[in-house]
Amino acid sequence: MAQEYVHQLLNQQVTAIGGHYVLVKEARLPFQGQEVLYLIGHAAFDTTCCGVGGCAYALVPGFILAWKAKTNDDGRSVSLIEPVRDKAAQREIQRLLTKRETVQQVRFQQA
Amino acid sequence: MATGIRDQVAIIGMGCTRFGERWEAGAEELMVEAFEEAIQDAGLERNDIQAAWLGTCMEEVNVGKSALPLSLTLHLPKIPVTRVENYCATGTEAFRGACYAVASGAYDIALALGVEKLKDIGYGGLPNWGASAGTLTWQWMPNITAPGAFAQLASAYGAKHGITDQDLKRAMAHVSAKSHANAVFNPKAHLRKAVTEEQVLAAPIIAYPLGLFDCCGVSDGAACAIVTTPDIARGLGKKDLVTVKALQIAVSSGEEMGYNDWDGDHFLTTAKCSTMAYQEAGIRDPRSEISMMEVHDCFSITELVTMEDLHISPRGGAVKDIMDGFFDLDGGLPCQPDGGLKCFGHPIGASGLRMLYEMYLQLLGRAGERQIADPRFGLTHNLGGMPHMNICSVTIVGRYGE
Repeated sequence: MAQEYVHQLLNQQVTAIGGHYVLVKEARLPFQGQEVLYLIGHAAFDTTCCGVGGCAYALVPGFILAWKAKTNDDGRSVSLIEPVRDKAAQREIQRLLTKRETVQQVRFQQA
Repeated sequence: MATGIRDQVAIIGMGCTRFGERWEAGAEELMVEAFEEAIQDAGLERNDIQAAWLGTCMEEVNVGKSALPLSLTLHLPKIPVTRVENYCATGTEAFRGACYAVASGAYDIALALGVEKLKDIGYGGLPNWGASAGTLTWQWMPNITAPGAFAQLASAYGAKHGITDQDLKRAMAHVSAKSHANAVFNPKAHLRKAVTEEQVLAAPIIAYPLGLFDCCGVSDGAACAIVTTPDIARGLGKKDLVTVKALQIAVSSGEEMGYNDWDGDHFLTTAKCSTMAYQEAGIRDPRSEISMMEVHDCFSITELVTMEDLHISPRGGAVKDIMDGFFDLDGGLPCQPDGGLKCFGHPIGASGLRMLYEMYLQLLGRAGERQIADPRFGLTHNLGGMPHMNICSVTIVGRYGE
């Protein structure tokens, strides 16, 4: 089922009590005749209650159905996407992304 | 037959520091800051304090052993002072000591102070405890992390109640976003910044399904309470008395970990502790009678599951209550009106008293922009340890005689 995806602001630090993350890149991955939207984030967990760490990670909103089809009330672009639900497709996209990008996590968003 | 201490102890003064990265303050300065607010609020002099309890957890990297750090810092006049530690319930444990001292008649006026100084001392989160964990503790959790253990709680909860990962993640995101929204109104919070559920959901995973915003942080802070009897409080000219309705602690016996009865989806201690607290306070229907709560949101899933263990939400029903906004500041039963651990961080010894401070302010109508209309009973909850082995405390306060 198609879902609206509001494009995230890049290069802005989002701070939590235990650390922060920054989404640094938005990109498209060709996959079986479609394109998969993904974002790359960098995170540091330097003030958590239970240890320290950090990672680079990929967020995968899903297959692109309509690229930046409209803007919302905040002036942010909105695309139509379909989440990647098939487990085999998720595994393959994860494999491709970890070859293409230096990330320790690949997360598929289901909204 | 023991009946508890309902309405036998009044809180006549409280203080709380701003929590945060207090680079400019050591533990001693934090203790003084909280104490000065409390003693002024109580309208007393330091020499009126007859006994004191100090709560601090990581004393090895903090104030040091014994009760001397409190006594020396506040220049208490050679009175009995006791240091207590009980994991994340440490602050509440200090409060319990002071309350029982007054309720027993041993002392007229007692002090409870919790403090933790964790920034710029080399503390990087709960460490490998080494020998300080004792022998039996290691037996039950030899190689575990807190995020890992609470992530398993989340997975077990979802599996038991048939809740999808997506719905659970969305509910946990709402838990965090709600607390952040509340902390915007709190000048003493470490982090005063609203976040959207989308920002929470875009954060990296710490231990699936828990993400960055699902985990609390390290902070510096201190909080303090001065207690006496209602009669003495009235004699001091106090009118709107906030009294203790219930004080309960439940500690794991090893049953959860050692036997197969427990399925890992909730806290046995909290379910029992809250039942005992309601009995002590005379509360029959907590969902309708409790006005507000500060619970131990060390992880978002802890807060979610705790709504059921406190018998507020039905089993499996917390996600619906959360998404309905029932625990929002303008909801039926506001939870974390001050911002919770998510926005205060967790200076371990101070957290329980920080929660009570918020309930105290709310009951006296002093909570400013986050004031809840006409609260009757306020509940605080601490959960120290892991889902399978922990210490739970539940405290209920309210107006005297109600």
